[in-house]
Amino acid sequence: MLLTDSEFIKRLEMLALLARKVLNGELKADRKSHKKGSGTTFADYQEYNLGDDLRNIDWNIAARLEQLVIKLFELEEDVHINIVIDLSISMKSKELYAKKLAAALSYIALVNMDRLTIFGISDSLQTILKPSFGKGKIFPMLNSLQDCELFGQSTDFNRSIKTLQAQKKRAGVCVIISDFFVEEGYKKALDLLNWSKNDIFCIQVLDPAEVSCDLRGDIEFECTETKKTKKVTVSPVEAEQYTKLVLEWNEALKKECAKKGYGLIQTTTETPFEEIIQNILRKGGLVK
Amino acid sequence: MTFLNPTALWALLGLVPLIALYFLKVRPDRKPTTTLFLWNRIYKEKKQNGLFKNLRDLISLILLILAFSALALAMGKPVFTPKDSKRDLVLIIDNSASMSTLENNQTRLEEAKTKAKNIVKSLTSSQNVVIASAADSVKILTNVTNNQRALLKGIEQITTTELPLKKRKLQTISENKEIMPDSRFIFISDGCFEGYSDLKDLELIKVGKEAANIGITAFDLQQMPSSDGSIGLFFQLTSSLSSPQDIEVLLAHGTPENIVKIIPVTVRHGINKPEILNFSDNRTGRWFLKIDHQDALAADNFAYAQLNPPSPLRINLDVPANQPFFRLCVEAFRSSGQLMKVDPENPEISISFSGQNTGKRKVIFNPSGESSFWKGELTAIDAFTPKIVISDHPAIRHSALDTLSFTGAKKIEAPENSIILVETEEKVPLLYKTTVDGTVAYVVNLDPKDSQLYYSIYFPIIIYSLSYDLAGKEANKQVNFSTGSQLKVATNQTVTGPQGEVEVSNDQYKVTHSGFYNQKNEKFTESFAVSLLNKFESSVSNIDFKSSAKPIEASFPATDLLLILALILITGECMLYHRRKVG
Repeated sequence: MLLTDSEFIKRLEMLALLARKVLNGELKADRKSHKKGSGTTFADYQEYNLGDDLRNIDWNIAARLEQLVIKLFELEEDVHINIVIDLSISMKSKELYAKKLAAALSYIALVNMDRLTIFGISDSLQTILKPSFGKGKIFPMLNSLQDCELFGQSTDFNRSIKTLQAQKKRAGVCVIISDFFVEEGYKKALDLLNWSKNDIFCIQVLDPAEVSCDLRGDIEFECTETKKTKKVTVSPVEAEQYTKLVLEWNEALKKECAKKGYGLIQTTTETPFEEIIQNILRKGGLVK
Repeated sequence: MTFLNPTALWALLGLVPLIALYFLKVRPDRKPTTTLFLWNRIYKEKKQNGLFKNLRDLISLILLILAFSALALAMGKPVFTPKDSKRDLVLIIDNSASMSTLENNQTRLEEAKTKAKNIVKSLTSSQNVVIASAADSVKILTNVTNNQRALLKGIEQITTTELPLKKRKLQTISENKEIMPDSRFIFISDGCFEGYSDLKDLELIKVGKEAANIGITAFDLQQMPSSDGSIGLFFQLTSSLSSPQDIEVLLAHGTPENIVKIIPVTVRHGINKPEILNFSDNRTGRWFLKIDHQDALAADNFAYAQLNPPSPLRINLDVPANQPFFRLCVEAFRSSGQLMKVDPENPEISISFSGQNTGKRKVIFNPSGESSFWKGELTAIDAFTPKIVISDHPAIRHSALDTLSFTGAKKIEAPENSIILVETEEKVPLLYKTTVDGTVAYVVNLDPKDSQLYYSIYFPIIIYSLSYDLAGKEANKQVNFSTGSQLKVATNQTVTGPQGEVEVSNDQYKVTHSGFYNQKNEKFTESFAVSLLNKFESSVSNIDFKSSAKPIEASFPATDLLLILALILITGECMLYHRRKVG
């Protein structure tokens, strides 16, 4: 199934409609910001300091309290959504599924007039879709996702995220679609994003064959990325240990996200991607 | 160590492709994975098994090589036994009548077969065995083989018989080393046969214990010479019981149920004195004697006897009227046992003085005149001494004819092809048998009156012997036999017994079952009876019989051990293979 198929696009439109209904957004600046600025929605009062805009002084309060205070308004701004999709070789069996998820989220973002950038990460960072805005960029976005290929010899989250940080000065929403099976770990990379005040949302996509091991006997495992091999004998004991280890790995990811306040969806390629999007929307979107 | 089948060692060459195949086989499947680092963690914890894992493939290969080598060596049948030891066996199992003795709900033969089977099962595959059964003859049931299945089948074929065991036949086979050179002859028996202590070259294995049995060892009936039509009964019993037993012996006629007489008898241990009694009955045919007693051996509780009607030899006396002694002699034989009778109408034998009378068989006394039965001048011979030529001829063996005077003998010559039985020193025949134109005659060259033959004790013997020899009959012909007897049969006669028609070979056959038999041809039927009647078979107590067989030493079972080793090695390799394939 191609990402540019009409069938797939119809499904994306349905998700976009659902998103509009759930998020109740309207036009530009649909997303609230924690920053205070020149919006129209009152947020708070603040003591006047030298240099503040005199137009914001609330004269009624000043008359009653004999003290100058200024009104603060919520800053309404367009959100920068960065979709980071793992395009390492290890994502081979999950590539299409990850691309579908990315396409769906991107579609919603573009429909909602958010600023969207799609990155591919592996042992380096690749820009799949440059910062784009508006519905007119939907098809370029889909084509870009469709055309992008797996690359690299390993998954280097840290290096890729550092590159991303360097490119994206402005904080936004970072959606990371990956299997998160990174030997060197993913915490440092997520912390980097977090320190940059990005809203982080992790989507862990797994192949069911990765969750448990049905193989038995003498097997020579070959790493899909590094091509390193290991001859082992898999008995039911080892298979059980593997399943347990995968569960522990996933649980660690879950704990890390909960601890740091990252959004997290864990899924396998057996789950229809629409369900994942609906799940995200029901939780209130990607923004904290 | 030697190999009985060294060509099988070529199978070791099979190791080459086996090793090549092994290296192809053990290469594991390559599977791509995204979580190699997780697998590394798992196996890092199991590092203590690393040495075994590294050596496992090598161990597996060594196991296969050893297993294959063990199989190849086993096929080569290695033998570690010294050459001079006797390892091969000839197992002879007694299946005579006494082996039917029941003890603890099984016969002695079953016990013997069980022992034989145990021996066969305990042997190694390199030991050869011959299975044989022995009763009145020895039957080889299996050829020389180490095939246990064939040997067990051979043992299973052995069945009980009603035959006595003949030691002579047993001894003959044990002396026949050609059956299997350098082998041990082992005889499994209850020892109920004559002369077991004299057996040479046979190792004995005893079966059976002291059993309680009373059996019939002799049974016969005879019509008594008296004119009142009585029958004389003769039977003998044996007992293995230590105390006297009062039993009843039942005599039946026609069928076993038709009891004629019940005879109370007290039976003592061992062979009892014969019981002889007369009773009034003139019936001929089938008679049965039965012991009314439950004991260990049933076969000797029943005996059969045939009583045939008398068949006197019919004699035509063509002698001068002044010679009454011939008639008196024949009449005496008629009255004493229906052996002869005067019958001029339908004679079988003619006794004459001239030889001119008709008849195909004749006895001619005092030859005179011309006759085809002699030649010569017929002049009187002077003093001479009779000389017996064939002393054991049936016609004269019971008569000392050289004590007769042969007075009145004439100088004659016997025709060609005559059998001269008595002659003078000058070769003048005094008694000869001759055949002329199909007529058989005995010529007695003497004058009965002048030689005072009538006063000689040999006169009735001569009359009887010459007449019966000419007739080809046997007076008081035996009609009751024991099992295992070898009987003759005339040409064109068929024999039927209790088990149906009996196979006749070279005009002879053997009676193997108790019961009544008939010999038939187109003209007449002869009946006779067969019973076990063997005091050794009936004496089932065998306290004195001891086993003498040495322990049967199986040689070092190299072949079996190699097979077991191969099985163990293959099992180990299977476990490793399972580990490789299933984990």
